Amino acid sequence: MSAAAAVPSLELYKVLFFARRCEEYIIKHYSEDLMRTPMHMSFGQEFIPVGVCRALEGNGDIFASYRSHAAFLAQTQDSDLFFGELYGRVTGTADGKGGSMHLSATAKGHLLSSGIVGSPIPVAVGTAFANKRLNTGRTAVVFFGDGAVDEGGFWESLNAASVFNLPVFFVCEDNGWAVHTPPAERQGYSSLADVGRLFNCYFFDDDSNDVEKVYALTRDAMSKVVEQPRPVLMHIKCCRYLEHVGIFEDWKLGYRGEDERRIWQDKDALRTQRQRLKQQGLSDSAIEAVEREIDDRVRRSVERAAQSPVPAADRLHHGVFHEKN
Amino acid sequence: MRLLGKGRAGSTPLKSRMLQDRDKLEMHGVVNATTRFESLFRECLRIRLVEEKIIELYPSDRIQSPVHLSIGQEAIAVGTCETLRRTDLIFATYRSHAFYLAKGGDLKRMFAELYGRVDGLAKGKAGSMHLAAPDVGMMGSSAVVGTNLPHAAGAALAARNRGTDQVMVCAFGDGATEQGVYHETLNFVSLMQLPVILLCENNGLAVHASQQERQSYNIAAHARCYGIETTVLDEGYDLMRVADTMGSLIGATRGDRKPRFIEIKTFRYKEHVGPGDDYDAGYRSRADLQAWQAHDALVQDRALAERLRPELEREIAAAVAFAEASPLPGRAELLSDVI
Amino acid sequence: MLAASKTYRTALFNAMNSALANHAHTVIIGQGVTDHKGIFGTTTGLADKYGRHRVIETPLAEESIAGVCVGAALNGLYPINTHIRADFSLLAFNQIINLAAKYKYMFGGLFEVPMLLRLVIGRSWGQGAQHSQSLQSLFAHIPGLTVIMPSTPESIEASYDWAVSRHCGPVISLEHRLMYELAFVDGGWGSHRGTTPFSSRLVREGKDVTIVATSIMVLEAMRAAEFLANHGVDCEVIDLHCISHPDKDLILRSLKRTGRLLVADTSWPAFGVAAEICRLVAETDPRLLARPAVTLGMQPASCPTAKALEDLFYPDLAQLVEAIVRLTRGENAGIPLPDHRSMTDFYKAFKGPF
Repeated sequence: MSAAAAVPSLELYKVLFFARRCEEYIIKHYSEDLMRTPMHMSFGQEFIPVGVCRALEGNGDIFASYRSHAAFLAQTQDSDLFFGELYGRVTGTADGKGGSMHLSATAKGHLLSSGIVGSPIPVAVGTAFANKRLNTGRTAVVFFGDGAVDEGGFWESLNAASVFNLPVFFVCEDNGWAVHTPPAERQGYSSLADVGRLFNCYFFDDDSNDVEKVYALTRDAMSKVVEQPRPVLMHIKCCRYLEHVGIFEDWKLGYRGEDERRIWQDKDALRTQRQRLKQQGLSDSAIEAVEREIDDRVRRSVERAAQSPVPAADRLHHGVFHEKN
Repeated sequence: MRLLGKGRAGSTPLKSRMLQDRDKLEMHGVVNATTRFESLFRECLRIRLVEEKIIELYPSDRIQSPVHLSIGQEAIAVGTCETLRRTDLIFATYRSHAFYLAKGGDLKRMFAELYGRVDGLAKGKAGSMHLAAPDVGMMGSSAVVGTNLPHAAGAALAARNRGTDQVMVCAFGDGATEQGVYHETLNFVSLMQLPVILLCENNGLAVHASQQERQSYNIAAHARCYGIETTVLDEGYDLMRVADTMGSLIGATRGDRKPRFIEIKTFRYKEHVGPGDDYDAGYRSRADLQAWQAHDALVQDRALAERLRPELEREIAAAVAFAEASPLPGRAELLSDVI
Repeated sequence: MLAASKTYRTALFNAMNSALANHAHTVIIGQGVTDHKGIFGTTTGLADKYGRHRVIETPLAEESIAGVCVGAALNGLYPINTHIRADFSLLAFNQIINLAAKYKYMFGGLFEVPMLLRLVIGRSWGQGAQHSQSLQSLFAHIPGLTVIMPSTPESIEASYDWAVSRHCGPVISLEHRLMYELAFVDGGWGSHRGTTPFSSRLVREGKDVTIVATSIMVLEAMRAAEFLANHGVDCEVIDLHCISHPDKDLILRSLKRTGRLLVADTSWPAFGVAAEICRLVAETDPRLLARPAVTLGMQPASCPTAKALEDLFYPDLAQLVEAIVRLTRGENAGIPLPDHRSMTDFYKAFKGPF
């Protein structure tokens, strides 16, 4: 079977659409002030975690930053847990205690989202170490932004994983911004590839903005890792469509040029994948049926979340220390 | 109004202590005896004899401070400080006896400090790991690996803003390059183009662990990725080559205000901490030591060492006597200098 | 005659601007100091005005940047290092605690490291566990650090000017996000003899209870005092301000009069400011306390995002008033309580992030 035939185009589109639609519902309902948690939206960047998580066929142990909606949804495919948490209800991942920045669903492979830049990276290395020792068959993956590469903890982790030959996936979603600060004001190196390749890892980079490309790179990395375990460093360029935090666009502020917007949105990954399905022979009505079903699913999750109970007062003190439930 | 004062080197450039000595010797007609090599040799020997005196004293428990000895690595400090001015700043580590002395730190105050006496350079509060002498540009030595790296960057930032032509040198071991703060600092000095020379004293060991066990990267290649002019010098035992190389880098940085990186291979003769040898511990062999010593001028050029030794030993003996006579610090020193 | 009011944010901006204008070697350094948001409006435009060599944007590298500040201070600059969330300073603790705090002492007084760290305590809604911490006691525990929590615009301007121009060591200042938008009237904060801008202050005289408060809890204490004044309870309020060097005599003199102590802090009572104030009293003369001390702060958990739980996590005015009433009158005493509205809802009708 050729690599191209193995790519599940429809599945990838469904997950992409699912992630995008969930965030569209966030935008639609945010002003109701029922989701009282700061939102760092994945808009524009979904194709990266979707491609990686689906390539791993759900066997990933996922670590992510505060911008982790798409990673969580791609891994767990669970919009009930997602909206339950955003709405701060008992049906959420953590009784609402985590919120958007701190999603988790360990039973479904989403182990950690953290609000401190770079902090999940060494944790992923530790999980990879455990996976190797215990032969769990799972793959630790950590998603982070280009800003996290500034943090010393990233380099310590890359070195540690390289020295120990740990098959952890370091996936850098490079949208070119740390909040509002561009690379020219942050990076003393001119090429992350040059520095990354110095380490004993498999390095991949890509600026196609294409979910199938990310999927293929991940499959390639997986086969290399099986043959010879090493960490994987993936440097994937993308565009953050919305503001750093919040549900609006901020192109008007001027710190990013309109060029950036146009270049990336012209090759929007969701639209690309939809067109690919049509090229593969799916009809408009078939695609729309798929989209309607996903929309229904998400809408019902939102409704259920809004109607779910808020956590009782005693949940405040629950889980501070380890307890047997 | 708080004055620019404490801890900040003044703005008048003065020659290094070594060059001053040489000038004096020349002035007093001792010209023929003093070649540049001999000056460098003398400085290295002085340091080694100090370290050997510490080893001799250690069993008496008069020095109640962990000592990380510079034996084997002296040439780097001496070669660097030959060209540095008093106003240039060195940021070194817990293994900094050599830099302290080469930069011009007072020997008496060093021994008194090791003895924990009130006349020590830090009233006994610092000990061996925290030697400092701001009046000659030897900044605080820190015991936490890698912590001096951003200090050098920050001092260079200050030099830029204040318009001084100081050169900062940050000395660190190969182990420090594994620290996240090292990567952050490399990035910062490159990004800001700061006048720092990052000097990696590569003795191949972080305590007892070899580089191979710890590092997945090549130190020099890594520094080059940041666009920093990088030099590697394998012959860290060669006094003249080290001095020439460092002199050239310091001059260049003073002129163009750009960061530079140099890795100098060296050899730590003694155990990581303490006065002893540990060649039976299994992580390295005596053959490794002997291979290095074959190039060590201090070991090989016995005649020169013997000629210079008496005067140096007298100086050291006087410093030890000073320490022995100095009183112990008390409650006043315990609670002073907190804020 | 009341002076014109200004917001806490304006005072911060003024302090930053003055630091740059009046002291040629001051630099402001941190993530976000040059962008359009300018650390919630406190550094906006300063990079353009004074140059990017003085208002310095940084990579995300908190530990090294704190170290850069130490090095810069050692060579003649006065660095002001900002953390847009206090929680991010945890990455810099190695430099702050192992180096900056100790640099003068461990080298026997050979050096000084004058610098200011500005930490913003996250509080709006939904900040969650990692964007809400109030770390004053971690810093105050360490000899060598001076920790302040300015509670008014006047205290900001006076304290920051003092830090930049007079204080010779590291200063950690914790600014409360909820106060940024509040406008204050000058309460004569600056005009007490025998004190420095870093000193604790008596902000309200009263005879029934001594409330020692920090930061926004000073405002809460004043709200409680005002409410209770109509019900015959007279509160004395002390703004601790300098967490690391509290005015012990001020507190003890007050307790001699009232016999009742309530500590209202922005963080957890355990091992915190509340614990320290109790220690000071217990070690001097516990008989000053007619009743056991009461402490108010965060609940013993991490901060939850869900509003239902977040509102329980922080103390509100009703709880503060109830605690004061119980302390001064015994149970209940028939005094009606204010409603259970969270501080966030009172100080800031908050929509949207941060």
